[in-house]
Amino acid sequence: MTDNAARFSPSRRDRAIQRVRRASWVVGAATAGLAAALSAVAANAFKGHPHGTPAASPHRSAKKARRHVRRVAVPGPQHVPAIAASTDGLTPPSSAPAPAPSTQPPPSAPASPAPTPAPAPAPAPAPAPQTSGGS
Amino acid sequence: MSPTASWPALGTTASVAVTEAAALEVARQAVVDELEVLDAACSRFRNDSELSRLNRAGGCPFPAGPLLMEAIEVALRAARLSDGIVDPTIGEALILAGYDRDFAELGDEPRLLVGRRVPGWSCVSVRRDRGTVLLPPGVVIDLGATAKALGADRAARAAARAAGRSVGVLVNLGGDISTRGPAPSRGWLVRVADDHRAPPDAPGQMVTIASGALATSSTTVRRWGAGAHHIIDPRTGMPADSRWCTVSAAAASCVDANIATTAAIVLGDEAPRWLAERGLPARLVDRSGDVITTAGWPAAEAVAA
Repeated sequence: MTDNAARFSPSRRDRAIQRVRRASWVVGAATAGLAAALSAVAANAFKGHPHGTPAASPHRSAKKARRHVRRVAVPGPQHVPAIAASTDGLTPPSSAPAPAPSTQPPPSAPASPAPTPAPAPAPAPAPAPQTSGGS
Repeated sequence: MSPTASWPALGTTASVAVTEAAALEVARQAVVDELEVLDAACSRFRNDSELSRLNRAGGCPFPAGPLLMEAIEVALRAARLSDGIVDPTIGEALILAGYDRDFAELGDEPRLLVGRRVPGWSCVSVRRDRGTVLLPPGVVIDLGATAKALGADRAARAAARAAGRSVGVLVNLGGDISTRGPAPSRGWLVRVADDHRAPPDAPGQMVTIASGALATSSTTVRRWGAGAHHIIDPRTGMPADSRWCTVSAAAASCVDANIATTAAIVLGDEAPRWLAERGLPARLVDRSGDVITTAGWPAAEAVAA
C-alpha cells in the first residue's frame, strides 16, 4: 500500500508531465529546423529566374500562353504532309526492260557457207550477253 | 573479238562491255581501278579495310574517307527508303548466321542459326561536316546489300568517262549491272537467272535494257551450312524465310535496283505491291519456279523448278 502511494504521488506525476512537455517542444523545434534546412537546400538545388527577371505571375503566364497559342498556325487536315512522303524515292528506269529479240544469232553459229562476192565492212561485234543473277 | 572483258573481283565476277572494241581496254582499266578502291574501303573481310576499322571503333567517331562515307550514306538511304528492310547494321546477325569470313572460305558444316536483334540503321551517326561516322559499341556494319551496286554504278561512270562520250559501257559485278552512254542498237542483252554464273541453258529470261541498271538478288546462291543464306531479315535477325528465291529489278541506278531486289526478298508476299507502287519493273520467282512480274517487265515464261 505504501509503495503504491509513493509510486503514484502527485509530485511524481507533475514531473513526468513536465518531461513530456519538454520532449514535445524539443521534437517540434527539431522538426521546424529540419524543414527549414531542407527548404534552403531545395531552393538552391534548382536554377530559378535570373536576377532582374521578375518571376512570372499566374496572370502573366496565362496571357503569354494565350499569345503563343494564337501564333501557332495549324494546317488543315488536307494540308498535313504525309510522314512517309519522300521526294528522294527509288527511281524507276526511263524504260522497262524489253523482251530480247528472238532472232539473235547464236554466238557459236557456224559461218554461212555461201561466199559473198564483195564483203562489206563488218559491223562492230555486239557485246556478249550479260547475266544478272544472284552472287 | 567481242568487246567484253571479265575477271574475278570482290569475291565474284566483274565484266565490262563496250559498244566500241577499241575502248575496251581503257574501260576495263577504269573498272579495275574503281573496284580496288571500293574493296579497300568497303570490304568486311579485309582486316585493313576502312569498314573493318570502323566496325572495330565502336563508340568512337571514325574518320571515314569519301568513298566509305558515300557507301554508308547510300546504305542509310536504302534503309530509309525501305523502312529498315534493307539495313546495314545486320553485320553481327550475318556473323552469327555463319557468314563470318570470305564466302570462298565458308564450309558446308551445319551450324545452329541464332537470331540476333538488329540494332537498326538509325543508331548510325554520320557527320559529313566532320567526315566522321559513329557506331555504338558492338554494332557491325555490312554493306553487302548496296556497296557492290554502288561499285557497279561508279565503275560504269568511270569507264564511260575513260572511254569517251560516244562509247556505251555496261559494267556487271556479279549480276549487278549498270550502264552508261549510248546502248547498242538493239539494247544491252541481259540474261536474268538465279545465279550470275548460270550456264546458257539454265532457267531464266533474256531481256534487253536501253539504259539504267538491272540487279538480281537470290537466296539460291551464297548459301552455306544447313540452308543459311546472306539476305538477313532485320526484323528477325535471321536469313530471310522468303516466298521468293530470286528477284530481278530494273531502275535508273544499280543501287536503286539492288535496294528493290533485296527488299523484295525480305518483304515476301508484300513485295509485288511494294515494287508496283514504286513503278519498278521486276521479275519475282517463287520457290516453285512460278514467275510474277511488275511495272512493265516483259511477260514471264514458265521456269523449270
